[in-house]
Amino acid sequence: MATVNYSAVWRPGAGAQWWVSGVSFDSFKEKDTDHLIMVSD
Amino acid sequence: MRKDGGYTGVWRPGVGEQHWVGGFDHDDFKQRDTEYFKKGLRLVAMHISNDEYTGVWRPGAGEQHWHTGLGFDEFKQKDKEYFDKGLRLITMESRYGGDGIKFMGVWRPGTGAQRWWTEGGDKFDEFKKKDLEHFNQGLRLIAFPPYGLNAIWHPGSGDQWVKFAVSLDEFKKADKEYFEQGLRLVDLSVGA
Repeated sequence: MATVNYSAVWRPGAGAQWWVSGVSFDSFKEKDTDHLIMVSD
Repeated sequence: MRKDGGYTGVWRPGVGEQHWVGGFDHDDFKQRDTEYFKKGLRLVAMHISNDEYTGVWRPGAGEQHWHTGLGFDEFKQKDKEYFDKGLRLITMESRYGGDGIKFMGVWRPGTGAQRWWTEGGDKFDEFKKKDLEHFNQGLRLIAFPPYGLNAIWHPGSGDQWVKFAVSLDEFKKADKEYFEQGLRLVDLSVGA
């Protein structure tokens, strides 16, 4: 199995941040809904 | 829609609508993009893997163009045409197609300088030199997408940190350190 690697860029910013990786479509959808609700609240 | 894929995403504070799709074919993606465009939404992220299209739309205005399957010269020419019309590249990807490397790009209204760069994943040292050169010219990375090494710089200021092809543990450690320093992710991609 190939090793997964990550590439990223960071810049100045503020406030919350969440990320996920390697999750299924359903799990991603669930996370997205969670974060949308958190922001809405 | 593909349900077994490895999805990666970053969330940051924001307001207004958000829509995303994953695992669409070209025609379905184009149709959905047209629908969203008419509703005042614009692509902020786009990714193609195994001919499956993923996109994220947020509220926006003005022109938007995206193309896939372009050869290097076509991509370069298209970018010049759009640049001259006041559009800037916001994301791009390159991957091997049947007859060479093919490029995807999304262009949106913008101003000022723009640089982009594409090479194989073994050219990170060259990328670092190019990035430093652009950093010193007041440009910052706005996208660092796969595959191989692709990068887009727009005018910007302040700190910028990059990690390329690191392990999950190294990425998590870096993200924690940078977050505590007041930095946030502007792009994240996963490769194998």
